[in-house]
Amino acid sequence: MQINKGIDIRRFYNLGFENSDRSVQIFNNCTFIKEIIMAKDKTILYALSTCSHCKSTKKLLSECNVEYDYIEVDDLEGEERKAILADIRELNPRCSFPTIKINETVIVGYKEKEIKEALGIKK
Amino acid sequence: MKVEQLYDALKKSQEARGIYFNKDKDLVFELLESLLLNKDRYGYMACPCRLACGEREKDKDICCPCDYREPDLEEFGACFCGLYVSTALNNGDIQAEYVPERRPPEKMF
Repeated sequence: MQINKGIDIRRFYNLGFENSDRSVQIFNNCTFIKEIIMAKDKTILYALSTCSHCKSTKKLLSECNVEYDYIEVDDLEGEERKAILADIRELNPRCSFPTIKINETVIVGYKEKEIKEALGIKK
Repeated sequence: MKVEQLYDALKKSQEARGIYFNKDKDLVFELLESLLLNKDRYGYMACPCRLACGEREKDKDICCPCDYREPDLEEFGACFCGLYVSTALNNGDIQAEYVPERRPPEKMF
């Protein structure tokens, strides 16, 4: 079975910080990330690198052969963290982890049945 | 501190209070490793399943064992991250279920 690894969207934050004003870069990158986040037909996992439920969610998504993007919020600092938290808060006011957005469905916590349902996986 | 030392120390101190680790030892060790990582990066053992802000005073409610462990053990048979569980859950008398976040969101912002 092919296992898809999640794509860490944090890497988009790090695009071309050299030779440019950092605040402008952060703004541009946040806009870019917002476009990714708001896109339909996407699976996005907001996670913490240390969280057991987040790890279980990653494992489930990979086992289901789902392509997904993820961001580990504990690895972010300052404005980057604030920007992502504001986005998570819109999806899940408690801002708990994992928060998973599958197309237009938001699932809070490692809820295997709900995640599979949102992915259209029947068993 | 090594993870085995932390395991032994917590097992002893918590079991004396009637509180037990999850019987899933792999999960327990993974969470204890994360607690040690958080101790390294923040200076205190913040809950691995919650976002710490890096200020001990603001995060004191989520320092393991967190303030929410007792009510979560009582209501769901497990704490938020699953490190500690009730005897009933470890024995299979009750099923593991999703433990919702009990921490008030304003504590995070």
